[in-house]
Amino acid sequence: MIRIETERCNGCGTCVLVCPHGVLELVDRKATLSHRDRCIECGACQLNCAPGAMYVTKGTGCLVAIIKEDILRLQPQGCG
Amino acid sequence: MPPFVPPLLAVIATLLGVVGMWTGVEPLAHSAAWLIGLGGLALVLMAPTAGFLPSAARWARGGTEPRPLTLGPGQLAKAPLMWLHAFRRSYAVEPGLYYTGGAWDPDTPLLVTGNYLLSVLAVLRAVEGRSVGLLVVDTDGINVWCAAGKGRFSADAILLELDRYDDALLGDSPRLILPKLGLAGVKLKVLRAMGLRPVVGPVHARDLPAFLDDTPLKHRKTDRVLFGWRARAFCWMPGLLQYLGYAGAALLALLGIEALGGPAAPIRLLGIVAWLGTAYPLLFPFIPGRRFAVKGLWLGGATAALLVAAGLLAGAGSLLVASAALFSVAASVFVGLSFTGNSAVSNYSEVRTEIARFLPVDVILFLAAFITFLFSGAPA
Repeated sequence: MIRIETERCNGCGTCVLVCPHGVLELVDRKATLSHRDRCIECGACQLNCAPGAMYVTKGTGCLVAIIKEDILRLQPQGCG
Repeated sequence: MPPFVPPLLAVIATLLGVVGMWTGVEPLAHSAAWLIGLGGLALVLMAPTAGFLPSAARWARGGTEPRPLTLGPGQLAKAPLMWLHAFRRSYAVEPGLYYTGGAWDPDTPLLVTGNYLLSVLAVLRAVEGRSVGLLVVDTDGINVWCAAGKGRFSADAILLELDRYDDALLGDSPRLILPKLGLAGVKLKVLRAMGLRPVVGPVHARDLPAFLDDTPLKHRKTDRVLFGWRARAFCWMPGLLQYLGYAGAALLALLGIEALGGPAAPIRLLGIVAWLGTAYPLLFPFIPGRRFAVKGLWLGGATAALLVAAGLLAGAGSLLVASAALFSVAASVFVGLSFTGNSAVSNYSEVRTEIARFLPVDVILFLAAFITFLFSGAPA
């Protein structure tokens, strides 16, 4: 899940720059989810948001990773 | 799964095939060619992983001078094997500072990548004939995107790699060209605080020439991942081999059941898996449904319908046909769920929900296919 706390956004545009799926754009100097369905929850926007306006449920959208990390509770190993 | 299990299964399959061929004992004899072929192929593909060591033990990090970047014949020969084994960490390039062209030049752009062999190779091909610096970060032999997601490709990892080189080598406020897919792990603010000038580069290495030609260098703001046919074709063969490995292990178990008096092991299941493992990635955008498992249901359903029609025409037993149809749907849903890891468009929250809903159903479908097969009584 991705969420923006709009009142904290300072309109710097870093989230738009770092997003690899074109999920975000600046509208009236505020980050906006223009293509929410494209978000893969990689967390790049949250990591690079200076005022802390972005919230992402970051994780690996992969069967093997979810079995290892969420179901079996093993340590993450590589990318999957 | 413990790392010794896949090679052990491959060795067992190959040996059983050899025994079947030499002794003529059934059911090994009529499956010998398949057993030797699949087992031998699996062993060849696993060979590059044999020398893997954790990076801490592997890299001495001794050098303090940039080196020319060249990949030897041994590394180039390993590249196709790595592609086939693409989603495992199996071979890595030594981390450090490299350059292309005649000599190190601090005024050239400094590209950054992970030490996954295929990433380094892609960058090297893209900058052929140019003078650039290349910082290879230790990502444990994992590609940039996956390593960034797990925090291994990070600002700290970049700084750690740069730390052993003299500041004078890098010039004033060096420009670091970061792969856009690395930004899930790299905090730009940290690099800027250290006096570096990070520039967000292209998603794909093949776009580097156009990016480097467009001076002064600009952030690639609009670059985004497109999961097109080229990316899907790249995933196809490694995924297919992975699924065939699972199918080979299942076939091994079914041969055991046949030896105990059960129905004849259905070698045709390899054909079903090969079809699903090929059709799913290549037809991905054209299969109905948005969720991976739903696409699997559609493809599996269509395959099952064809198998039922073919089975009825051939006069096959109804339980055997039902078993093949159930297996097709189960295997197709499994391929769909597995493809979440290969695709560049899977969303963590949605995939988690999908797995919770469909994985139990898939297990039941596999069990139903297996039980129906056991009762099919197809003669050995």
